[in-house]
Amino acid sequence: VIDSVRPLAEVAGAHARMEAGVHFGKLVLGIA
Amino acid sequence: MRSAATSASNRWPNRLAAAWRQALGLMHAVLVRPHGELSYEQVDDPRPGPGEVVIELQAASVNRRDVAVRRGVYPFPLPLIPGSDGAGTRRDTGEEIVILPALGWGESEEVPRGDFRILGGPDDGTYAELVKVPEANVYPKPCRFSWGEAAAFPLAALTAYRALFTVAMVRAGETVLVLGAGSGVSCRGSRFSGRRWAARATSPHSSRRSTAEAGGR
Repeated sequence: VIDSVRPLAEVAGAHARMEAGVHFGKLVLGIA
Repeated sequence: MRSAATSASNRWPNRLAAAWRQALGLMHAVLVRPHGELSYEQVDDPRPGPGEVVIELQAASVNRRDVAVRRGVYPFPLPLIPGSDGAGTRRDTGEEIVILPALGWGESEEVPRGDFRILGGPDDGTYAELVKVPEANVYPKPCRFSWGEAAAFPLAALTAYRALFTVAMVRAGETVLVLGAGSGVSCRGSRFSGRRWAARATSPHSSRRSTAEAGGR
């Protein structure tokens, strides 16, 4: 289950989403 | 909205810049700096030692552990590149792979060796264009998985699998209560539930609980 995908440079947004506890599934970072 | 032609032409400067960085031995990575900020920077490429391979990452995923690393919960020297999960191609062979983030686990199913570490602290991890890992930690990417899907499963799936089968030894007819609906471990653990035993995921957050109950796990 993937919650959302964002570019590596925007990882801070993924951490904020996890700390807020609002995600459902994995937070994925696209790199290439 | 950009036209396809515009976005295609915009990619070339990016590719040139990437080729230039590669020639210089530089990569982009996210570092945890002292005081816990995440900093997107240009750093030196990893230099593989004996038995190690360099992976050109296509995707990574975030684990709760990364947040703990950023907050200084572990006594790791900073700065470091966090991230346990990643999928990409081996630089030496071009093989499409997924990384097993348990470094130096050893041969015993029950307990790891003394030098066991999880990738992404203290070892530099997958929030980067390149990562070096022991060749033993590289596995073929299942072809039905996208890069994102491949990067999403290893640490959460390993944690859920070990909790359910190695430690709890769940048996036919049993029901497992999975706490923290919506977490990677909860989603994976619930998915491992088969015909012979059941998992019920729950959460103190009503929206996550209802998503889990609706089968969103």
